[in-house]
Amino acid sequence: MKLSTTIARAAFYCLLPFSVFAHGLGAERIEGGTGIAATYSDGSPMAFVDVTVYAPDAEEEIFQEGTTDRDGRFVFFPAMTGKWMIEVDDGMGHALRKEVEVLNEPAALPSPSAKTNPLTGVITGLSIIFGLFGCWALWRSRRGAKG
Amino acid sequence: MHISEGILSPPVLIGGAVLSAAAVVQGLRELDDEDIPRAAVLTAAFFVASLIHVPVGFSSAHLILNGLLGIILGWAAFPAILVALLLQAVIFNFGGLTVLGVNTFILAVPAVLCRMLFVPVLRRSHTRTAFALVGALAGGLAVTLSGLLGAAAIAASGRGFRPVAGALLAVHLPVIITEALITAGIVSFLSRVKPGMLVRKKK
Repeated sequence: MKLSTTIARAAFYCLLPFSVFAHGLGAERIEGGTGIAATYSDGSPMAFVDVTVYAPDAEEEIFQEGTTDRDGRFVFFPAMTGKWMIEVDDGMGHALRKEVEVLNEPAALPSPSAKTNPLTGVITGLSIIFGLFGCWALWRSRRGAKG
Repeated sequence: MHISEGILSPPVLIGGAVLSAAAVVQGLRELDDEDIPRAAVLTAAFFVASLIHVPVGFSSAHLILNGLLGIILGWAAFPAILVALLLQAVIFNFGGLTVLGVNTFILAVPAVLCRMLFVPVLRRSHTRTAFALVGALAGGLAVTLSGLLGAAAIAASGRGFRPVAGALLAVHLPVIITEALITAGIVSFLSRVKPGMLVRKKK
């Protein structure tokens, strides 16, 4: 085999993993949602305080918990239409409940970008493992035959 | 039991990579020609085992099988685990390429220890129960030690050892039990069918 061919092959196999590496975990950007901006009576924001959200169909059950941002804002994604209850509590005796009515059906979740099918992954992995050990065995036996 | 990228500090990453590289070389030297297919099969088993999830409450952990690999392969568990982890990182994004050395070290050191500890015991074992018992101990111990090593690696990168070790072991408790049972089953089966695979004849 020519040296240039060997180098080209080596480069190909070294770069191969990176093309596969593009798959895996992923996150999609989403926008919208609904929420509140909570303020004290003097107009200052209720910053970094606890927020609890209750869904219209289960008023006793916590749907989501979180914290307001530095400007007293909290946004969430309602899963259904109806009257949502948002509770804000600064833990120092100031709490408020705000009802938020959602009229529009929630948008569908963005479809996740292509993921490796586990079965494809398993087959690929197993092929590489046996291929690799096969090459190793071949190399060892050739070297043994020469020596 | 894969530590993700971005958790460990560079000295830990480099240390793990160097130690693992040395051990992989040692493993390849010890791997006889006729043992290569066996190493391939166990690498494949280890690779697939990580996809078998054991539910733990709302979280889940997966099978590891490093005790079994250790008993059968000894030092060759290092190259076997390295190859399997590399493929898991590339194909499934488990762990990652920079943590490959540390993850290999965490999983393969208990494997090699299992061989050193338990194969002398296996040489003197005669009943199937004895083989099963040793297998169970190896399976359970390997996962436990890996959990402790993993916690140590995270602790060496600046986090508290106790809480990490506690969390890791708590999540892996069902895995420790499952692995003990599986390894016990396989070791006792091999003791009947192919004892040479467990206790190699001395050359």
